[in-house]
Amino acid sequence: MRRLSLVTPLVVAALVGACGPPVGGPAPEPAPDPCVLAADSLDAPAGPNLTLALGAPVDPAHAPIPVNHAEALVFRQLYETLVLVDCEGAVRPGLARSWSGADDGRVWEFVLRDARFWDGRPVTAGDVAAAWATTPHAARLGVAPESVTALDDRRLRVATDRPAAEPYLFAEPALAIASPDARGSTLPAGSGRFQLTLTETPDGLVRLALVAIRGNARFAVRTIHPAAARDALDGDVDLLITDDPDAVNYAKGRADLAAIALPWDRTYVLASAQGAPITTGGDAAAFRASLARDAVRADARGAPPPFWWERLPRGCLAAEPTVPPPTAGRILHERGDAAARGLAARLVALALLERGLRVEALAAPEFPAALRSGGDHYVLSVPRRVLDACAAARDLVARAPWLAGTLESGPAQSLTPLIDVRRHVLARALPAGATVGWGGTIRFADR
Amino acid sequence: MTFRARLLLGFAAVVLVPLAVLAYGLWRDVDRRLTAQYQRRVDAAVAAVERDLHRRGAAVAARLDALAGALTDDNRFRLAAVQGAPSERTYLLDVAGRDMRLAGLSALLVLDEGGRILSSGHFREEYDRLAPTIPAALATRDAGVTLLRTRTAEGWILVLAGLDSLRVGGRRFDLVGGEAIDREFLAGLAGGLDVAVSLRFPGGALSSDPTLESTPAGGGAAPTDAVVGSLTLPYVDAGAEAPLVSDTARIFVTQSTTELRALRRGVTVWFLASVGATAGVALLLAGWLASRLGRPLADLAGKTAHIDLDTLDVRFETERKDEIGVLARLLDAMTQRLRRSAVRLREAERRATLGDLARQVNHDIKNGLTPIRNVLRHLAGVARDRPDTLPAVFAERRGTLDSSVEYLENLAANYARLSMRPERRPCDVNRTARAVLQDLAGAGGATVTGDLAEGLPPVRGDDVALRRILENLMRNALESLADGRGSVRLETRQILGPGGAPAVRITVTDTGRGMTGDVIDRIFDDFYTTKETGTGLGLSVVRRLVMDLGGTLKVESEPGVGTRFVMEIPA
Repeated sequence: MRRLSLVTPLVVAALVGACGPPVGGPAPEPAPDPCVLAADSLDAPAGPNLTLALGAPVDPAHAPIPVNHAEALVFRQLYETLVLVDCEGAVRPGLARSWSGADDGRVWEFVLRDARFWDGRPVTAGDVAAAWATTPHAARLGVAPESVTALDDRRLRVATDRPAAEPYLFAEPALAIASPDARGSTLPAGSGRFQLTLTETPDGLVRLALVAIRGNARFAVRTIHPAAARDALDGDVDLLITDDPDAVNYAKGRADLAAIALPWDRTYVLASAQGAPITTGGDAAAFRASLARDAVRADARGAPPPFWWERLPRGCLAAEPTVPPPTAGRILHERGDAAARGLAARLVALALLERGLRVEALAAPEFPAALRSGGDHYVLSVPRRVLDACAAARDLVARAPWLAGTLESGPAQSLTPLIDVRRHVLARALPAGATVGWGGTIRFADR
Repeated sequence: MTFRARLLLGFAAVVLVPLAVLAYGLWRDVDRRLTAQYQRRVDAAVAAVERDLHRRGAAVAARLDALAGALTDDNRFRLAAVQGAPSERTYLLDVAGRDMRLAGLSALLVLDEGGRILSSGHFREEYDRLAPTIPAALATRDAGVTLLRTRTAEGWILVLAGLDSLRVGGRRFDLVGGEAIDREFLAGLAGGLDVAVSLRFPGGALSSDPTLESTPAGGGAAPTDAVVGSLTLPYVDAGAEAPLVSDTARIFVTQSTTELRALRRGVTVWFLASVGATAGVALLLAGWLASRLGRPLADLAGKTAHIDLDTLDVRFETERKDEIGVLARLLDAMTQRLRRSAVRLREAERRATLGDLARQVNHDIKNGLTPIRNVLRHLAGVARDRPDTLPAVFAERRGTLDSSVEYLENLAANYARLSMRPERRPCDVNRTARAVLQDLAGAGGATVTGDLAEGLPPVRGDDVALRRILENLMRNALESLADGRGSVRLETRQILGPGGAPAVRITVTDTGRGMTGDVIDRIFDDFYTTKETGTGLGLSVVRRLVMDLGGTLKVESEPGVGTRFVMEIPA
């Protein structure tokens, strides 16, 4: 595998900025953190029963590995990862209260805080090793079971097959710690601050609720239409995750609501088998910024480099490159993705690709099938930051096999970055002493 | 050609030809009138479509006018468009979309005086594109409606476009907007009319009826089953580098003639059905009439075919009052006259025959008496001149006397036979036949056989006459055998005589010498014989006796093969 260049840690460090902790140092106090919203900053009185609104359904059967952003937020309250990443890209303490790296970041040693599963069992380094030994995602992420060593109950050493300046890998939800010994729970046991309860209503519906392990805080989980965020805020919702810029502006205009941004988590790209088809006159950054400003109605920015797919280690993609058919004169996007549609329409309006292109929205399963064929241009979102570029590249190549050749030959001419987008947390009230941040994790001051 | 065929052709000429003329006339008149009606309907629809287009164009213009007023008063638009305030940039990009939806339009462009798109309602992302030709082209059009082909992200749309402008901060801004023209729009133009409205423009076609988009109303081949009217509209292609002022689009109003064609088919089907029914009825009627007319004629012909001098008992009785009845009565009267004539003829013949017979008898008697007289004269001379030789001479001439006397006796017997008149009473033919066969059983070397059918009905006649008939025919047959060798066969059968009455057929067949046609023509004449010792009266007597019994007698013969006599005697 190709070794990371010296530039990588510098770039990451620049991204982390001043708010990032020093490598290997303890986590700072979160109070002044711009990525954290505290309950005492809100006007509404804190009651025990609150409502959490999400723009996508939550299926508890997926726990602890989420399949959408709503499940990611809910499961994050149930299962902890060793570390967290805040809105500015800094690594924050999670289940581990401190960590240190060696061998260019290939070996990491974590010290666990005094955490307990829902049933009161203490979380030991052996539990972490056991959890990773039973999930296939750990091996996919380069965490082999034999490379995980519990030094004692609190200390854990992990050796990976790739270097890293920061232990971002261990914030991956797939490496969240879950114990199969649930002891009375229908879900794998976690060490999060909340437990998920399922209640069947008389009319056959299943109500989900996040119930605090300590105290009496309880969040009823409700699924809303993504376009109904403002209506939810005008109702009884206390906490809401949204990417609707109108809802964010609405919340910012109301004194009883607060909004904080979640990290830039998605990058929209133009994927095309034709190579880099956009000619922007050389100022790609300005072009991307103009797209973010005018072409989409979202909290967006021009996607800044670097991009993870441009720095793939050689050999991490085993897929054979495929030759896609000629373009069909379309720019495709997934139906319902307004940002993708706006970007595709702007590209058509500017005629930067070719004349006569048209935008077409496809729903599943047509869009995945069309993306797999490679016969069109595509506007789609990819993760802004990945914890393992090879794994992410393999995921991407699984969706678009024709990308395999260009991703490895780099720079990846088939992926043209356009804009980054992010979601926001809108809050009316939080339980007393609680904060929300660092990827939407609800934490309590006493922990 | 038969009478029935002539009758059928007559019916065809009288019934089918007028029917065909009537159907063709109806078909043609209906077609012409309905086509004219369809054309009037299409013309009215074209006028209605034109009025509707102008009404909608006026509505578009009114909405653009209202939007121009609203934008003039909109400070955020002023800040964004005139002052270039970055904070209102998004507002400017979105304002056309908002106003387009509020005004119920399908397309809206806000352009500055340089033709740069500031805001696009139907294609938000085409901001900053230079499109000065669009308002320029629209401005050159006369007042009224104009079709504009403009771009969206997903393709192209056609709009019924209008142009308006406003001045803000000393700058002029153009508003280009319109209502989308799609299939529903065209269907709305058609309204409740049963017509299809199609639009043909350079490079494309659209129709309320998608099947017409490949026709000339849509762009393809001419429809043969429709009535079409059209009107022309100004057309601007926003995608063209320089839209042509002369570009036009045409709206076609198409009235399908499906109903007319269905009517034509219906008339044709009903016409063919009526022709078929008429032909069937005509056939039946002609058959019935031919049967009514032809069968009596055939019966008359059949009866007439049986008439000859020996069979004049045919009756042509009828109660019909028509021409057939008249003809039957005429034939019946003619037959009666023939019967009377035949009786008279037969009487004349009998009289003639009696005269001949008298002369013959006179001649025969003279012939018989002449030798006797000569012998007696000779004996008288001997007795006078040589009395002593008288016994010897008498003995010498006695043979002559005996022979002459025998001749006269035979002659008398034969003539006695001619005078017999049979009495008519029921007679058993088979019994008589068996008696005759028994008498002839040992007739030389000939083979005499009989084939008598059982259950024969009795015939009305005389047993003696019947026996004489059979004896004469059988003896004639035996005598015809060469050297007395051969066979003679007597056969009786029951048959149906004229008019279906029961009768008995008696057939005598021999394998004798046979006869030529000349001989056959004369064998029934009195005194005609081919035998050296024959009297020539046998077959004459037979024929007469058969006729007395009311029967018929026929003969078939071939020289060297044999002869067959066939008698048919009514029961």
